[in-house]
Amino acid sequence: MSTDNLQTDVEDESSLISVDAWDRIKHTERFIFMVSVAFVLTFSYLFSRAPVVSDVTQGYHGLTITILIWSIFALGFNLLLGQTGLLSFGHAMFFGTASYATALFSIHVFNEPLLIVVVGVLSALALGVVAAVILLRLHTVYFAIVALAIGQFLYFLASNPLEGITQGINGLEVERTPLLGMVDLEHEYGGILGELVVNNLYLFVGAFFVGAVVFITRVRKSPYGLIFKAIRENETRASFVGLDVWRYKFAAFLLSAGITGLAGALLAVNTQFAGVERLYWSISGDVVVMAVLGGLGTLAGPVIGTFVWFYFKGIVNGYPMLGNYWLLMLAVSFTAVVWVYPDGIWGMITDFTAELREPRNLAEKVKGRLTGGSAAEGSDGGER
Amino acid sequence: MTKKQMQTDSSRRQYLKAIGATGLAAGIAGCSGGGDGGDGGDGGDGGDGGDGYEAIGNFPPEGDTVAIGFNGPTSGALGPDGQDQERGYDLAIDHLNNGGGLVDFWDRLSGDGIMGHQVEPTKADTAGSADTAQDNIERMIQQDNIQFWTGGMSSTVTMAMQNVAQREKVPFMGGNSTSAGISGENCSRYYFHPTFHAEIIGMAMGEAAPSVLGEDRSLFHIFMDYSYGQSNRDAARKYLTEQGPWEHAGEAAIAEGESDHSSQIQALEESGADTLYFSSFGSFAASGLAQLRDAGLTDEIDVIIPHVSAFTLDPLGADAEGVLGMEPWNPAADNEASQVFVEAYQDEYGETPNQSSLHTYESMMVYAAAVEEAGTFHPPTVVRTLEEFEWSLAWGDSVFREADHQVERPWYLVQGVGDDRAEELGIRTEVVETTDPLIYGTDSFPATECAMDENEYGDE
Repeated sequence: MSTDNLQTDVEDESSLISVDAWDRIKHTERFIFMVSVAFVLTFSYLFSRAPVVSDVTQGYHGLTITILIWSIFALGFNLLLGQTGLLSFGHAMFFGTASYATALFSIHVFNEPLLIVVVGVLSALALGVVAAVILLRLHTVYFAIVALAIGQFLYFLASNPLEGITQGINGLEVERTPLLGMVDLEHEYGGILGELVVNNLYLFVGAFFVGAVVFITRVRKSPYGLIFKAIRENETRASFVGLDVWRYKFAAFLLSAGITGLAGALLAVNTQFAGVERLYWSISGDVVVMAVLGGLGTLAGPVIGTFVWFYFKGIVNGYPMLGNYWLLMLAVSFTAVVWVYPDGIWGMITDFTAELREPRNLAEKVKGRLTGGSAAEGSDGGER
Repeated sequence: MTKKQMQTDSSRRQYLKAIGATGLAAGIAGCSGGGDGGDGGDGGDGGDGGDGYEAIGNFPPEGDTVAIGFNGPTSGALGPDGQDQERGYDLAIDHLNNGGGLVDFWDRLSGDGIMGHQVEPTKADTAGSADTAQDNIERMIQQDNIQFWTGGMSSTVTMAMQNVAQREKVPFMGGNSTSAGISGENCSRYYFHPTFHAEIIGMAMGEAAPSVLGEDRSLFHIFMDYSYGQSNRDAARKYLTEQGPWEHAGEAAIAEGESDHSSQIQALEESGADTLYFSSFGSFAASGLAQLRDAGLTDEIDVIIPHVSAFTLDPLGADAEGVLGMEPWNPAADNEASQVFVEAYQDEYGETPNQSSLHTYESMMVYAAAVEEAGTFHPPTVVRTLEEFEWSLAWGDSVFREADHQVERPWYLVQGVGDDRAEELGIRTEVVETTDPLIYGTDSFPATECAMDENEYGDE
């Protein structure tokens, strides 16, 4: 599945520009930090305003903020499924709960963007503790289904009995206030900065995105994160080694819940709205699709998957004629990608670059295809 | 919302517009390439839309076209109504640009675009989700520069969009949604509600139903136990039994997601009521009615469903026969404009339009006429023109109230018909009774909940 941690112990004396050096660099935390910063700084520009590129993508600034937020959600979800191997069909519970907590705190207590986001994350963590106690006793499909049930339970709770608090299907409005009482989130920049990031809201969300990526990388690179992987690969063996499996699963679950909550809280700040649909089970399904489409267990995968998803939802949706079939087209693309590349789009890219590095194999393979003979076996197929 | 915030809003629009205008000349922010030279930092004082109004929201439109958006649920549970809305919208674009239909009928419109600007469509599917609707509308506002938009069925989405319209200063009309909060606590300066909601349905029912079914009736309620069902039950109780001639016979709630209605049906039977107010919709209503029929009750008891639409009646099929309900419009409506619209629609699509098709169509006619009358697209001026705007097209004699932006117009008590008659009519309902234009006073619920003064025009 993933290739992180693989190169950390590679000792190599080759020159700086060699492929091996690149392999070493690309897995360092500093490199990932810099890539994520560069991504945030250029994403909005490339997608919505750059010449030629944006004419092709037809993107717009508002969608880039939505994509960053949902990427955080997908990354948080991936930490549980891709890293630890726990498939939850109820992650909407953290997303929606954090969204509500953010909105309610801003309405009834105090409204400051940073503070209400923190409150949102804390609410998701609190819910995570309760849900984990129930869920971690269960395995595989029971785990997934009971997670779904808890999510739906909260959905019904919010839409009806708690209507007085949540306003039911009408939802809550979140007023926009300056960050720390002085920075206007809607402030527009001029010049180069304006061209790149447009406004403070994008920077605000972008900073959380980078923070989430860095945090997840730290977890993945740490011995702690390695144990998550060990549990994913073989839970029984992990416990025989003497690890307290429950405790590690609990930690992974909480981390995932907190990061998902961060996304839910940011979405409430971004849309200035919190509604019951964010607790609905289909949200939990959407995020599974995003993570799997992009590539489970990787860092870039969930972000790519989220981008593709929102590309269909936000851009293809608006095409004349074709627009009404955006869901169908997304479903077909998803099926096609996962059929050919079970490791998702990121898996497709890494497969391809791996082949490029072995020109001889590639040439043989192409030749084999051209001559109609059965193609050579898939280059190396990853470590699965 | 403060003035300062609105200024930054408008400067962002200008800024984004300026970027769009510079197009390939990237990297140079604030270059005045197109018709509107704003450089991002000057807080909306540089608009030169040609008619002396300051830039605000998405105003002024660029060049000689004007973009109008459609943001409705063309997929998902509300898909059937959303697709009808889309067809009405497409037809309105065609007529506004090239003449035909109600544009030719109405002397306030020219058939040569709006104020000489050709209308450019831009559409998106909300799938019934408020978050998707929000992404869509951001695209239309930031990228397509829409001056107005229409479409929408679910109350959740309409309410979220009311707030967006107010924030972005882009007028919006035409969520065919029936939550009273839309014209109550959630009312917005930049949204106009051109249809009824639970309170008006109850009121129109109180006006029309007793004259059709007689005054000596006992009414039982079966309702979905959340805001949709509850608000319809409350309104019906108020206007049919508390203030009306009928007697209250009891009620039974359906928990959300519950599909077996046998306990409610038993309660209905025991109550001895002869009329049922069934506050349900869509496939839920369909299965509920089938269960009533199996219990042998449909012959003795008259059933009323508050709001009927394609979405509600089509799943019922032949079971719809004899069921009463309210519609905001019906193709058999007794006015000339309706017949003009029905003919134009049939010519284009080969089928009979319904309330959803007309909903977006007439909303766009009304917006276009208001712009023509105001002589500008300037949003605050258009909104002021729409407040107390009077017109008479397919919806009948209509007027928007300034206090809550709710429309006052006639409503239609309709009856479901069997398969043969439905084939003949092209729609599953026929008009039983048309009410006079009616609406509650501004001093009663939900108008009392609406604080319109807190919603600014943006150019004060």
